[in-house]
Amino acid sequence: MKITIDGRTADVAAGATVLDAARAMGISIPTLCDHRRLVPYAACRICLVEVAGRRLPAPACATMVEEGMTVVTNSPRILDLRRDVLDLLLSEHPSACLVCLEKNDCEESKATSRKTDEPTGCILCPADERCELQKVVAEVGLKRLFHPMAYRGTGVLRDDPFIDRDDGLCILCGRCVRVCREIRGAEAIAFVGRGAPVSVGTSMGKRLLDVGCRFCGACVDVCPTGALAERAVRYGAKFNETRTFVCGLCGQGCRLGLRLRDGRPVDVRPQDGPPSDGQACVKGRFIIGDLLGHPKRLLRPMVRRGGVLVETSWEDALASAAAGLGGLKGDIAAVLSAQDSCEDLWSLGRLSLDVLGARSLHLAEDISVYRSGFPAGRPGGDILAPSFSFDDLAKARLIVIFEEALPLTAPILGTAVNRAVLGGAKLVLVGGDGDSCLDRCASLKIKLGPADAGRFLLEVLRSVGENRSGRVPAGAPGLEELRRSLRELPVWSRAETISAKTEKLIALLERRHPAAFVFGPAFVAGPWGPRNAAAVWNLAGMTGGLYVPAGWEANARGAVEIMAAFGTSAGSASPKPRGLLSAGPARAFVRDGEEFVVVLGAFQGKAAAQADVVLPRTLFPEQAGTYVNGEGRIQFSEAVLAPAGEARPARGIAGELARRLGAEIAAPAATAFFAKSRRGGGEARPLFIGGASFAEMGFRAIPDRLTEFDPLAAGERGDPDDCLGFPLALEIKSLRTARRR
Amino acid sequence: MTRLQHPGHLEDWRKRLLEETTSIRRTIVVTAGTCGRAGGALEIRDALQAEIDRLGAGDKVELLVTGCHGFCEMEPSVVVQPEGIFYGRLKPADAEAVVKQTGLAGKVVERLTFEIPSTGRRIARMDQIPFYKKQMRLVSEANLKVDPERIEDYIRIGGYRGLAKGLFDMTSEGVIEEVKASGLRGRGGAGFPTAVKWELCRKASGHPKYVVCNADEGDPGAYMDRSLLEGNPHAVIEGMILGAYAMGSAEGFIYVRGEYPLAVKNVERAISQARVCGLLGQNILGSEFHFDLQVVQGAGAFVSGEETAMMASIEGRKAFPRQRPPFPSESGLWGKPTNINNVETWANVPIVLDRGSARFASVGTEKSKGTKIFSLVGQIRNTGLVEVPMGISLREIIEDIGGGVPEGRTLKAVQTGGPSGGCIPASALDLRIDFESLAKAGSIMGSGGMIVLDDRTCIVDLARYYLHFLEEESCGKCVPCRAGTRRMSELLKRMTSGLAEEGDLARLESLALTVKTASLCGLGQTAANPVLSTVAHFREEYEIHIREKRCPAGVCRDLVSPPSARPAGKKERP
Repeated sequence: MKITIDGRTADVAAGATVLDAARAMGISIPTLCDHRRLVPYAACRICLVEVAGRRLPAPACATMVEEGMTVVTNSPRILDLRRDVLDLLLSEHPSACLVCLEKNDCEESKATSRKTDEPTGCILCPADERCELQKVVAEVGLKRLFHPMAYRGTGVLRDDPFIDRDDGLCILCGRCVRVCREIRGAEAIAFVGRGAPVSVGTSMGKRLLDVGCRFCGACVDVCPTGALAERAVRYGAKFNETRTFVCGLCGQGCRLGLRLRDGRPVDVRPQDGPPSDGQACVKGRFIIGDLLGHPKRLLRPMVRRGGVLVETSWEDALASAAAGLGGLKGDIAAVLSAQDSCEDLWSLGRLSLDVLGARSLHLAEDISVYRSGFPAGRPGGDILAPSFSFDDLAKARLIVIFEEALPLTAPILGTAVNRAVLGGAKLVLVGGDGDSCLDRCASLKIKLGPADAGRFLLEVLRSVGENRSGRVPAGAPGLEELRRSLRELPVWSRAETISAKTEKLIALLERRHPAAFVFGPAFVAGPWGPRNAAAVWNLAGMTGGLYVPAGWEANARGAVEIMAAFGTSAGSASPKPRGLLSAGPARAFVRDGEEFVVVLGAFQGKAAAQADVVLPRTLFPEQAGTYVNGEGRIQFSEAVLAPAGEARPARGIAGELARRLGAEIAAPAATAFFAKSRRGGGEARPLFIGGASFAEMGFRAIPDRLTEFDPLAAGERGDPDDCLGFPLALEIKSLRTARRR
Repeated sequence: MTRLQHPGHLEDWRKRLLEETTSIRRTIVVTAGTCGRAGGALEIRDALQAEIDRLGAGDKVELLVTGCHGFCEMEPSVVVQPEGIFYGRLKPADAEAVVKQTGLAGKVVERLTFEIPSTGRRIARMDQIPFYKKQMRLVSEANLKVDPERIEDYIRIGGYRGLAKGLFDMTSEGVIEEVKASGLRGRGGAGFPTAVKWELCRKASGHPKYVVCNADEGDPGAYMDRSLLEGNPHAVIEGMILGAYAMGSAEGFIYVRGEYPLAVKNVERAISQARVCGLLGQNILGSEFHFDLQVVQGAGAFVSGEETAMMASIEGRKAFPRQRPPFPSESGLWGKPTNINNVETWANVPIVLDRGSARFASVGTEKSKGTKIFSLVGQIRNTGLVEVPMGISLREIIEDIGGGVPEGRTLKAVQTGGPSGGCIPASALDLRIDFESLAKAGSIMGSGGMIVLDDRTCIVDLARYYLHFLEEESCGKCVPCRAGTRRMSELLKRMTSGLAEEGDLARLESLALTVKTASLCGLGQTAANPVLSTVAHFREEYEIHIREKRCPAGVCRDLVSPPSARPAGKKERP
């Protein structure tokens, strides 16, 4: 459509706002309450422009372009109006420094006075130099204020971890309330009250902790002023460099930016772009610094001498480890972690199998959520879930979540579900503890544990398989076998309420399309695991829905691929091996004195305490690496900080050990890790790993056997806040508070 | 009450009700809307009933408890039918005379009749009383004939006949054409042609569609909708069913402000009775049309009368308005096409369908058809709700119907349209009331509030009152209204307390213009009107307050008697 702004005409796509069009044409219109990720709000009235044919000026952010529209953004009337509105806005916000002529000189001399509690001017505000209000005042050219100050402040609220709330600086743009609702779904904050005394607050003034806030930090990130600020950097938030990396604390793979000032880390902000598009969670957003600098961080190699671990040099420690493990002639178990990068996994795996000849290779975590469990010999072998994008989930019309508290374990997936629900999708929750903020939005809740839920699913499958909606793909391999096996299964009779709910779910599945089925490790671990996984796979296949496993670890999908490439199933860990190489937390391993244990670790803990040799390793921001997130997206993360102490990357350690045992390990290029990968839109590097598609794999028969438990991985499971064996939610105080533990 | 399976059933029922013969000779109608009840109407009812029982006259005299019939000044009042004898300002002790002399013997009790103040002449018949004589109570006359708790009363006077005609004799488009031909315009304030609005909703793409009745009535001094909802809820229901049929909607909401408990009760009861009778729900009157209604209560805000804020409230969210376009007819409740009309608008629809558009259009002016109910309040002798044909002059309303300002006072101005409206000075009293004329005079029709001001009303104080109201009711979403109404209110408070400075009036006017131009919704966009319209006609009064620190009307306390001169311990007016 054609639009004319300030005398210039251009073509814009339908669905664009006047603001979009202006920006595309390089015309600047100041805004405050608008945000590119949020629905236009039109409350600040700063972006008002003249639209020919309309009696009153219209807000550019919320006005859709119409064919032939004529807009003026800079007439004297508009410029005066903008100044007047801004003047009114500033009557509610400490404005001393904003129009002060001494501003620049003052900056130099008052740098440390910022450590006061209630800012009365820019100089004392945590958002100084980053504040969007400052920018708008400069752009609008306001030099004098005509309205008396009506200060709103009631003091800085500090009852919660991480976030300071200063109502006095709030301009009521609503971005925080909107992001908490439109993107995150927690709705922890809202507008309270009416008229001039309106403030952004919580239900009955409770702490954020008590109203379901997850401390994801999204509100702080969208706040244009200093009203919401990160406490840890309140007085030193200025930065002059950003380095991007991928978070390794869960399976979402959020892109984060470490912000530094003169080379010293200041804070972390989520970056735009897939997969997380400016979102993160409490861990990636707030505790990276605490993680890296934790007092329990292992900084020096240690060797056990005379029954006690003593610090030593790398030379000594490596020699000791090589000698100790080399002498065992392969009677070794090796444990890796699905949190490790592909390069680390590869190198450690090659070291263990090729160089040390280890008897068994394990992953510390149960990643059966990504295994399809198809018998080997089928095309694709023992591989694994198809790739998808979080955005695909946002388009679903029905989402069924099994046993998973997404905001805790897969927060970005949780935001996609929230977007879907706000767009009208129905949400069904099976199992779960009811604590998730998504609980509120569920149309149907089925309270069954994973054991029973599987049986329930089979009933649903049986019914959906009758193909009343006509959507079941008739030609797909395995359908008839599946139908037969479902018919042969005994009918599972349960209470009336469950069968009523079964009917409801079946009705939803028939009416709403596409559906998405989300499940986590708890659903497919345990003896019922393979049956449950098969049931979800088949249900997704029958309904043409999305199959969405939600693993917990940063590189679970990469680990599955690499372990498969090693061609090994767990191998047997019994009888107990005489040696252990642990790069992942070997939780169930208990020493009885005879063995030789080498631990690559980042933190003190039970594992390191049992070791004969401790080799300190780097954490993800301190090393480059390739990680595959829950979507199957392959991401390369740069090192953004120098390693702490004498820590070294795991693959480097593996290489050094190999060398001392007379071998060389060469890690191939990242892309070669993956047998099948597909290119995304013109990128040089493939973006997603290939996985089996339903069309290729067809339906699965429902297995009845029990899984084999991996004794070295069993025991403590179920902590999504684990970082290489270190329980963050216990060891980092602010996170412990936020998790309410 | 049985389920009506087709329009014939409805007619049969109506005939049966009309032909009911009883021994009853007279009906004493007790008008018991909220205003009447506040004046003691229920005690009057009880006293009358006790008297009837005492005299054993229950087979000859009956009571009919109805809603408000408009003459609030004289509440509690009764009308004895069929003679139409009106008694006002009753006390329970009067019950004996009313029942014995009038109810049984048909004689007039002179001392209870209406007395014309200037002459002392007494008038017994209601339709001869000046207050009623010039009114045309097209919509509100039913209030005198209907017990709102009985659907039978509504049926008896022709209720739902319009619905039967629309549903069975016309198509949906036909109903819209009929409403278009009638010239009906919205009665909530904007005066938008109703049929045009309906057509927009009908043509909009999206499903399902919703119809809404805006019964939030927040203007101070306006209570017309209250009397309609309390007194004759079925009229509104019938109108909404017709509108839903015309637009293709199956679900509707009546949003009633929480401060109207009697209205909520009566509407909810009427809805259940309509459902039982097959007038709401599936297959209305045996047709293929389904429609049902729900009552949603407000929670104490003026802004929730703004249509987008109202929709947010119905959706369960905070009542913040949103930017328009898109308009509700395109994207309203839950993003679907939604048609919102005022109570009085809906109540006019059955009349249009039943009596025909031509008859409806025969009343009123060229562009403003039909009648309008005004709440005539303030410094006027006959306070109440008046329904008049469009085109009647303001003078006739104030002097003939209203009885003029109290003895010894002079009329100063008439404020119409509530906080969004303006003042019409006494010099413009011959103005003909219709949408266009009021707008030209610098005010608006609004929802119908008509506040009479005399020489003892301070215009600056009036503006201060309105701005204080708007400051408190501003939702707080947008900057100009939130900060602007507070600042304007502050400036006016200064003017009324002797603290104003030179230039404050200019500041006030300039600020008013910013608020008017930049605000997000109608509340802010019209918040300037109390200031701009009063300054236009009464600038000098403002200047006297500012420069001389004097209040000519003798109202502003701090100017009439400064704080220092007052006895200690006296309470200050808010």
